[in-house]
Formats: sequence, C-alpha cells, structure tokens
Amino acid sequence: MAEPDLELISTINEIDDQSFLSLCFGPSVSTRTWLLNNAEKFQLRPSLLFTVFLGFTKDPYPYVRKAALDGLSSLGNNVFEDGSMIEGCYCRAIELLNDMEDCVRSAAIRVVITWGLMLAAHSPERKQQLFDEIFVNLCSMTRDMNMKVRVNAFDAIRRLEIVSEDLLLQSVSKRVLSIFKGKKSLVQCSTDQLELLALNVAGAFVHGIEDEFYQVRRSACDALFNLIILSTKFAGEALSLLMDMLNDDSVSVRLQALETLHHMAMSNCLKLQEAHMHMDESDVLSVLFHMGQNHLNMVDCIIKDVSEQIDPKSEGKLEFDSVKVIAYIVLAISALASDNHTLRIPPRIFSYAATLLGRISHALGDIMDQSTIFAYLLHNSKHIGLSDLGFNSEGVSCSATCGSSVNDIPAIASLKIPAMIHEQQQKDDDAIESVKTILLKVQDIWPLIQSGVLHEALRTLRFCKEALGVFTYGTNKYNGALAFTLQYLKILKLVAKVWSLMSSKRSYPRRTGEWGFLLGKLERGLKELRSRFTGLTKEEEQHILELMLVTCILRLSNGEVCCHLTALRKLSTIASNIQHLLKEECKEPSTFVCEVQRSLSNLGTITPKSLCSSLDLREMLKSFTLGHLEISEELKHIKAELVISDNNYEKPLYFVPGLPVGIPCQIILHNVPSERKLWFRITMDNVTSQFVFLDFLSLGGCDEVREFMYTVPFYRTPKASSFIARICIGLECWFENAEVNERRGGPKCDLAYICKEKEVYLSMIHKG
Amino acid sequence: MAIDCLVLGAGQEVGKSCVVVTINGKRIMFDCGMHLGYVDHRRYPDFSRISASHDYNNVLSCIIITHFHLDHIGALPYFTEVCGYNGPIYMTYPTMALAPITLEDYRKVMVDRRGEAEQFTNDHIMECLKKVVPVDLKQTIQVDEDLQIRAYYAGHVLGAAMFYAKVGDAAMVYTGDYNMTPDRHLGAAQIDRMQLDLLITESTYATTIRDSKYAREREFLKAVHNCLASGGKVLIPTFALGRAQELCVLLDDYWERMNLKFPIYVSAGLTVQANMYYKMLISWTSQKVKETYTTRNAFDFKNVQKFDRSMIDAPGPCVLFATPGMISSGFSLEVFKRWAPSKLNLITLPGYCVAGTVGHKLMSGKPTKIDLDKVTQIDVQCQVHQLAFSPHTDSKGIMDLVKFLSPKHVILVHGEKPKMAVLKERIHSELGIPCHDPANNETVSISSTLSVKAEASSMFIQSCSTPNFKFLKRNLIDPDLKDLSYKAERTSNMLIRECSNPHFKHLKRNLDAKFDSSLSCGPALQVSDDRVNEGILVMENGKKTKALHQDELLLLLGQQEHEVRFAHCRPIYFGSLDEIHVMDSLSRKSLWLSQLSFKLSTELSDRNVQNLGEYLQVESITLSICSKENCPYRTIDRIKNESTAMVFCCCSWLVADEILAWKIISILEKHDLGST
Repeated sequence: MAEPDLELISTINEIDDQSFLSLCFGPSVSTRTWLLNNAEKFQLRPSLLFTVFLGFTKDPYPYVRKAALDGLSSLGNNVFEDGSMIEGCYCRAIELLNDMEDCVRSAAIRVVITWGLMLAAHSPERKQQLFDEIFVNLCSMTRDMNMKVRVNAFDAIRRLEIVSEDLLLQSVSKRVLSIFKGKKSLVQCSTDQLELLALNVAGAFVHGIEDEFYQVRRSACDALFNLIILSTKFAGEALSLLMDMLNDDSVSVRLQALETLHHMAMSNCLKLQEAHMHMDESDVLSVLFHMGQNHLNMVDCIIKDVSEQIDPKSEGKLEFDSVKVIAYIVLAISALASDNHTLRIPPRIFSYAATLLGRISHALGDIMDQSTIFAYLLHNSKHIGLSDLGFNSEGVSCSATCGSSVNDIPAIASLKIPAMIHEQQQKDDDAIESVKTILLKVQDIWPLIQSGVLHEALRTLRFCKEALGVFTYGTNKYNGALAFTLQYLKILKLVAKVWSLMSSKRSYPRRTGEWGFLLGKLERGLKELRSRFTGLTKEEEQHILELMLVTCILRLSNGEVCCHLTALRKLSTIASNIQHLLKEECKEPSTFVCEVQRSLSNLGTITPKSLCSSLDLREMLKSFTLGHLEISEELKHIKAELVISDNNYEKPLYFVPGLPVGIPCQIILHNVPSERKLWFRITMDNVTSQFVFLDFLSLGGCDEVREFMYTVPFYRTPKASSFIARICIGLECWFENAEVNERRGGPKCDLAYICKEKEVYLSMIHKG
Repeated sequence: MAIDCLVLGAGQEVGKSCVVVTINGKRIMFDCGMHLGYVDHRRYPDFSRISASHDYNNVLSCIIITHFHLDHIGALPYFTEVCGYNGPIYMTYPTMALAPITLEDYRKVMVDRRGEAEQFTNDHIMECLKKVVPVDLKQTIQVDEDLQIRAYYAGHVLGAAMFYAKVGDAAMVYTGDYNMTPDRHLGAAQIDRMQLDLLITESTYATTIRDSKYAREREFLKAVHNCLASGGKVLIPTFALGRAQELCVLLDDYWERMNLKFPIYVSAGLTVQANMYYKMLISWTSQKVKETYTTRNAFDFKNVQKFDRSMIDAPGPCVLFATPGMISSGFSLEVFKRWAPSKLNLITLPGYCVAGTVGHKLMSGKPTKIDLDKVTQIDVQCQVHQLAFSPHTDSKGIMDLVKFLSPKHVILVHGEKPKMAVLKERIHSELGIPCHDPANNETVSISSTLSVKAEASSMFIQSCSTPNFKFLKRNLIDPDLKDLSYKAERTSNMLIRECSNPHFKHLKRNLDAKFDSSLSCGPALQVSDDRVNEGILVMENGKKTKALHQDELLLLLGQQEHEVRFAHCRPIYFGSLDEIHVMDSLSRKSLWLSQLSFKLSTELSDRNVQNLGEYLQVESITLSICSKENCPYRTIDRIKNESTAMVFCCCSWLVADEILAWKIISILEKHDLGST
C-alpha cells in the first residue's frame, strides 16, 4: 500500500474473509504477495490468517513464502492455545531455514525464534530441549553467505534465555569439543546426532565477531548479552572475544561490546584476566591513576586487601614483573596525590614505585614529568631509608636531575595535582632564566671572533644552543623568547663565519660563492629576526639594527662593485633608523654607530669607484662590539602551518592549461597581528613567482591562533601535462621595500617566510 | 548425461591448477597454471590429453582463470601462443590488470636470472591478454547458446573469483582459491545458494582449523612491537601483492591506534606499484576498506614510506617489507644478510616456503648459521616469527561452503593427498555428499541433471499456478496408523524422484533417517502443497514429451480409476416409526440424512459435512441409507426391535480417512444409544 488512495482504502474495507481467500488463491502471484504483505490491514480472524500464512509457506514463489513467513512472525503477538498449531508453524520455519532464497531464510529465522519461544512457553516441560534445538538451528545459520541472514540469526540468538553449557562452549570453539564425541552430553539428543549438532554450532560466535560486516559483529556482541550469564566458563571464553571487539574499527561494534561487558559486570560474571588486557600498559596505568584520584575510598579498600600481594616475595630482591602488581602500585600512589590525608597507604609502596619510575613516568607523562614523580615518591617514602632499599633508580641516570629534585622536596612536599601546574610554571621560569644567562654569556664571544679564534666561538655558540635545547618547544610559555634566542644564536654563528672568511688572508681571492651564500643567509636571518617577532623592545630593535649595519658593511667589504650602491643605500637607511630610535629614547649612540654616521656624512656624493677607498670599512667594523641583549619576556613568534591535504604525485590537483587552478590549503597562523600583511608565494620553476594576498582578517580567529581553510588561486598554469608548484606564506616586512615584485601587484615590501615551503602536485585534466 | 572432469593439474598436489570439465557436451578449462617446483615438462599441464590432435579451438568452449597467481595462470601464454588456443578466455578485471605483471616478473626471473630457455616472450604475454574477456562479479556471461558462466567473490587475493558454469540444467561451481574468513583488506568469499551437480573446491588446508584471527594478529603485532621497542629492526619478506597489503593495513592501523612513530618502509618497485592497483580497485576489497573509502583510502598508508637502499645500515628501529617472500634472492635476501646477525632484529616468515630457499631453512628448526653458497655463510642470531595469515580457507571453511551449497558431488583439488583423503571422508560421512579426489590426468564422471523439453498441458499449468495446499493433521493416538499415513506420503514423494542416480539412493537413505527422526518428535500439523507432484511426465515413442496433471492420465490411457474403499453397514435408531410412517420413503430418507448431517456437524466442528441429497460426505467418507436386503458390509443381519425405526446406514471410505471413519461410526453408535 504505497500510496494512500481513498478509493482503494474503501475497497479494502469491503474485503472480507471470503474475498480475501478467493483473491489469495487466484493465479496472480503479485496479488497474492501483496495481500499477504498487507494482510494485517484487513480485519481478518487470526486463525484464518494463520492458516493462510502457514499454507503459503509452501508456495513455489520465494516472495510469497517470504510474505507468508513475515505474516507468521507478526502473528506471534497473538495467543494461540493449540500446541500443535504452534509446533506445526515452528517446524515449517525450521524446514525453510534451508530455502534457496536469502530473503526466505531471513524471514524463516524470525519465525523460528518467535514461534519457538511461543512453543516453549506453551510446553514448559520441553523448554530446555527446545531452546537447545533453536540454538543449534540458529547457529547453523550464522555461517550463511548472506549478511542479512547472519544478522538475523544473531539477533534471534539474543532472544534465547537458556542454552546448555556444552552447546554454548561449542559455539566459541571452531573445533568440535570432546564432550560431543561419543560421550553422553547434557544435551538431550541421540549420540549419533550429537557430533552433527556440534558441527552446526561450532565456532558460531568466533565467526560472528570475525565477520566482514560490522552489522554482523555488532549483532554477535549483542547476542552474547543474555547467554554470558548462563555459564561462568562460557563467560570467560566470550570475554576474550569481546575484548577483541574493543579495538574494532566500527564505533557501534565497540559500543555494543562495552554494553555487553557492562551487563556482564552487573551480573557478576566479569572475570577479567591479565591475558584479556590488550591495552597498552601505559594506558592502563594512566587510567588507574585517574580512577584512584576520584575514588579514594575504593583505593583504600583495594590496597588494604592486596598490600600483601604487592610486597615482594623473595628476600631482598624487588621483582615487580606482574602487570597486576604495577597496577596496584599505581593505584596506591594515586591516592596521596589527592587531598585526603586520612588514607593509610604504607610508605614502602612508594619506595617500590620508585623502582618502577621509568614505567610509571612513561604512563603518567601527561600528568607530571619524571623528576616530579620521583620527588613525590621520595617524599612519601621518606620514613624508609633509601639506602635500605638498595634501589637502582631505573631511568634516573642524570645526576643533575636527580639532585635538583631531591633538593626540591620541601617545595613539592604538599603535592597535589594543581601543584603540577606550579611545576610547569617552575619549568617556564627555568627556561627564561637560562635564556637570560645565555644572552649574558654570548657577548663574550665577540673578542674571540675579532681575534680570529673562530673555532672557540662556534663551540661556545653550540653549547649555548644545546643548553636551550633542553627546554622543549610547545608547552612553554616563553616559546617566543626561546625561538628568538635560537635565531639570534644562529645569526651570531653566521656573523662569526663571515667575519673569519673576510679576515682570512690565505684564502684570497675569497671564496665568493660561500661568502655570498653565508651573507645571504645572514641577511635573511636578520630580516626574520626583526619581522617575525612581536613585542620587541627598542633596545632589542636597536641591537638588531646594529647587527644589520655590520652585515651591510661586511657586504661592502666584499668588493663586488655591482651591489655597492644598494648596500650603501641600505646602510644609510639603517643608520638613520637607529638615529631615529635613539632620539626617541634620548640615548647616546654607540661608538660604532657614531663611526658609521661620521663616515657616511664624510662621503657626501657617492660614486661607486670612490667608495672602497673613501670608506674605511675595517675601521668601522673594528669599532663594533657586541653589547648585552636584554630580552623581553613578552616576545611572540609569528609562524604559520600550511597543509595541502590529499595531494601527492598519485593524487594531483587537476588543471586546464591557461585557466586558474585552486589550491586548497589548510592553514594555522600563530601570533600574526591584525595589522600585518600576509602573502602566498607560489613558484613554479624557481624563476617566476606569483603572489596572492591572504586576507586573514576576514576569516575570524584571534591574533594568537587562526585556523582556516583557504583556496589559493594559481593563475599561470602552463601547457604541461604535470608540474610541481611550491607554495609558502610570507609576512610583509614593513621596513624593507621590495625591489622586484611591485609590477605584478605583489607585496610592497620584502617578505619573511613564516612556514615551510610545500610542494603541490598538479596534472593536466585529460579529455574523455 | 554426465559431467566429465579431467584433472590436468593440482590433483592431489598444490601447483599448476588446471581442470577440464565437460558438461552436457560443452568443455571448459578452469585455470591454466604452472608448477613452480619443476623446470621440465612437468611444469605445464599435459594439454595433449584434451585433444590428441592439438585441435584445442574446436574442443574447448572457453578458458576461465580464477586469479592471477602463477599456479593458476602461469601456463596460459604458453597454451595460447605456443599451443595455439584461440578461443575466449574469461577472468575478472583485476586479474586481467595484474596478470601481465606477475607473468612478466616470472618470465624475467626465469630467463634473466636463471638463464633458462624462454618458454614464452613478453609479446606472447601481451598477445595472450588480448584474447581475454574481462568479467565483473555476478555478471552472467552467455559464452554461447547453451553455456552460461558467472563469477563470485572469492577473497584470497585481489580479483580472485569462484566461477559458476551452467549448461542446460547441469550446473557446477569451480572455486579456485578462496577464503571464508575476511582479511583486513579483502572480504570473505560470497556466493548464492544454487542447485549444483558438482562443486570443485580447493583443499590446501584440508585438515587445519584456525583460531580467531584476532589472536593471530595480536601475536604478530606483539612480536613486532617488542622488537622495535628494544631497538631492533623488523624484516617482513613478502610477495608484492596480497600479504604485503594485508600486513601494511594491519600495521598502519596499529601504529595509528598506539600512536607509534617507528618508520615502516616498503621496498620500492613492485609493492609500490601494487599498492597503486589496490587503491584503484577499491570495489574488490573488504567491506571495511570500502566503508572508509569515502573519508580515506586505506591503502594511503599514513606511516608507510619508500625505502632507499642506502638505509639498510641506518641506525634505529624500523619495519621493512621486501620482496621476494621466501628470501630466495633479490632485495629481501640482501637485507637478511645484513640484519640476521643481530639478536635485536626480527624476521617474519610467510606461511609457506619452497624447499631450498632461506625461508625454508629458517622454518625447519632454528639454525644459527645458514650457508648461502660455498663461500657465503650467514650468522643467524635474529628472532624468527612465523606468520599465520593465510589467504586460504581452513577445513571448517571448506565444510561450511560445501554445506551451504549442498551440491550433488564434490571434487577436491589443490591439496595434499593424505589430508584430502581425510576431508573427503568427512564430506561423505557428515554431509552425505559423494566426494572424489582424483590424481593428475584422471577423469571423474558423474551423472548430471538431465534436462528434457516438455510441453505442459493447460490443466497442469492451471494446477501449478493455483495454490493447493493441504494441512495434514496427524493423530497421535494410534501410532500404527500414523506410521501408515506417513509411509504412504513418503512413497508418493519418492515416486517423483529419479532413482537412477546412485546419489539419490544415498539421499533417500538420509531422507529415511530424517523421516524417522521427525516421526518421533515431528509436528502434528503439517502443510503440503502438491501441485507439482500432481504432474506426470509422459514420454511416448514418436510423440513430444508432455507434462500432464494426474487427473488427465486416466483419460490419456483410456482407463478407469480404481479405488480401494472400506465399507461398513450398521443399523441406526431414528426414534419411533409412528411419527414418520406417513411420509413416503424418499422424504423419510432425506429427513434421516439431514438429522445425521446435523448430528455430525455438531460433533465434528472442524470438518466439512456435506449433505448431497443421496448421501452425506465427509472428506472421502460417504454415508447413505442402505435399503438393500443383503448388504455385504453388514455385521448385524436383522433389526431386533421392529417397533422402533431402525435403519441401516452404509459407510465407505478410503484408507487415508480410516480414523475419521471410525470416529463417525462411533458417533452413529452413540446416536443409537443416546436416543433409547
């Protein structure tokens, strides 16, 4: 009855028993199927419907059989008093489990379970035997080739209440169990048929949870719901299957498995063994730690019960091999991290925990770091002398860390979870302290550079860099300052290298290639240092500018005539910049700056030829000394993350030559102030670049982090079957004018690139 | 008619699969493989047995290739290009795509590396593949007027298929290699239930029953993870197609789940190329891969990178997939040489290794030294893990498939002889299906379903299209009678079955057993619909074969129908004669009949009692007033009491209604007594 048709409905109402029957028995198969499918809509006697449905389960047309079976399933709600009727229907459905057609087998399963349950209710004395029989028949259907049949079979098994233990155990083993081989089993059946029955049941659930379709796996998990309560042995076997399902790909299967496990736990038959734990040890420990914090009383009870198990058995040697013991220990130490001091956890457990520091700290890495845990453990086990334990502090090899932690004990003694935030704070402070120390120390290298001891200078710089490397990126509040300092160290290294190249007499004529390369790197580095950090103080800026002056002079001293003019122009710009800054601050310029300014004013009109002679570059450089850089803690590092997902040489973006192509980019911007301008640079062949303005303000987010998708148009697609474009994001440097890009409507100033260059694979679209 | 099955290869052995089946006159070659263990003439099937005159084109209707493995396709270029077969060849699309790669790879190894004489050239491969007609799953192909074939998903390897072939009413399935449990990257075999005369199935693991795949996967992952965690390297020698992808998916998933960062490398070349094919042929992979495809191609491995030769000695843990699988030569051997001496490293081995390869040596015992050749000796300190991921079904899977398809005959191929014998016996005893395991070059003949074209009479058609179900209510009181009615029905069921087939005898025995068991606990209510059973096939010399309705038979034969009826005549009391003697005899009769009819209708509420004027009818029972002087069925001769209206009543019935008849008679007796 697909469409509600008033006329049709009125006609339907006129159909009585007699006309229904005569239509059903007519030769038209489609009419018959339709009538059977819609039989419930007519006001017919259930006994008549039963007769008709049961009769038509013999029809040669599968869809008629299916409709008849469906009709029988829905009749299951009515009460039939006649046992032979119920049995007749049930037996007919069992026969149809072997039908050739998938849809008939599916429908037959529903009738078997519905009428089988009715039959069991009607004759309770046969209940056990009937349930076993139904179980065997349904299990044999779980190996059907049709997915829906299998789902229906498991859904039907879910409705069974009692099944013999032997059959249950057989259903989780693919091999025929010995109980079925000859020996009399609990299952009521002749011995000859026993093995055949066992074959039908064998491994039904194993196959079910291995099934390709998640629908079947989910149903199989669900089917265990009632059965697991029936036998502890079966519950144990079923548990192994369910634990595997916790790693399933499908969420619905995992949920169903959990639900069944939950039911198991609620019915007191969940006996988890170590073998069932397929989770990573650290995951388990971390979960236990969290649980312990939230359920203090539980921890108290458990530890009281199991403290003997925790204690090592053999004298003197601590061997906590069992994951279970480690789990108890973690549970125990989790408690004291909470407020409740009334708990009585034996201090020795903390000392046991100390021996397992490596494993525990690995598991609790997201909560506290190793030294914190160690300090905490030591503090709580202080009643026992450490020497008594003779422990070998696994994983704590660094004496410095160890020492400092022990010293810190008073500070960490009243440790709570919020205190870990304090710990982070402490770490941050450590970081900024060492940054300051390093900046103080680094100015000592200047005399080394000047005196030509390049080796020594570089070594000092390397030490500084390594010292900073201890502080990890990412979690630190002073990331900006750290990044700045690292960049600064890199620049000093370059300055040192260039300086030594300049002053080395032997290698004259200078290795211009290397010289130019290093200078270029130095200039770029300085540009980044100046433009990629926000919150620079005037001092910092002045310091950078002075270094830029040095770089300019170094470039001039190279003797390459062609670039003198630009370098000189740059020199005077920077010098005036410094002057401007100093004026604002009302400070005196350094001797170096004075020297430069004097030389520049002496120069008057600049001619390239007169340049080298008129400027005493050496003198100027000699007057430079590296001052102490006071770093601001508020520095922010401007950076970007650029991802072009789903693009590689096998999966290129398609384009039509001559027409623009859109490159979908996933972008995260960090600390980009709203007044700054960002550009995409897309290069195709290392020569030509195209710039696209990125109007990030319209895309929302705050200055700290902006995350968005952006499709970058690339206009100049070549007549090539495929090519690689390189794309990256550049930040416009407000202080330097661009020299090349103006004509194409690109950025007005030079760009400092704030992300790694990405490759984009493009391929010409093929016609047809 | 018969199905003749000539096994040219893979009979009681694994290798060079090739079976030539003749069904109702059509001859099909299933698979055309080569044996990798031989280099002489035994490597190819003995094609001359198909046709002594080498006239293959007229003898064979078509060749069907199930999948691209060499032991199933290896001899094909030889057969087509060298032996000159020109007819159609059918295989699935992925098989067609991957076949040239494996064939060319094999040819190169044979010719370039071992310096053997070329059996076929690259051009031969290309020419051979031009003759291939690609097929899709479940696509029915009409090879010629009579022969139909259809492919079904087989799992095993990308593009593997089982093939169904049908000529007339004779039908069969050839499985090729298949897997009944799903992999991570391939699905389980899937086929419809059909009427089959013959099933030819592989039996590689004829006696093995495998545990849950999750346990096996866990074991593998644990071994790999432990090795990496302690700083070792894992070498996984595999074939480029199949297990490599399976393990890549497994590891990639695990890496994702456990957030591992160890690099997984795939040696460049064939594997990278193969991954590309898998990416394109998503519709032939497992359900899981298909489901996730919309969001992510499962073969876009997140953690898998290409390996560079220079990285062999690079420090740090890693996983490396390298070909070939049995560490016989090539890259996997090169890496093995470097990595085997360290205790930290782990080598995994595939399920099967040919004798003589390094893989085989590692499998048999745990050697500490392996002599590669006279001058090279490898110090083996590393751990060895045996992989348990086979793309072949286990014995339970074979049994499940045979049970599901329930063919009339089973032939086992592609297995080891002793194991096949065990399985053969199981199929015979547990499923009651005759089973054969022919050796190479043996022919098995089985009878097939005979199809006869017949005209049907309009009455037969009418009867067939009209539902005609009956309910059979067995009376459980009298076991003898129940048995009787049962036997009657069974013989009628049996009559329509053709008994020339030995299998039928077996079936009949089985059926008997079933009947007996259902007799003891079978339902009281049974339904039957005998419209086709009522048909009768008439074959007369010189006339067209005809299917008639059973009622038409007598007409055709010009014979009368004979019925055996039981009869009984007894007196019944109908009150005093005075009230009714005024009536004429006719109206008196009808009054008595209607009285009886009323009585019976009330007593037998579930039966239809019909008053037909002359007599009453209930089912086959007729009941009439007997006015004969000497009725032969009478047990009491005269009426004792003349004053009362005692009338003789004559009943007759068919044997089927015996119980009901006696019930009616007892009702009549009560009627007699009740009114006195």
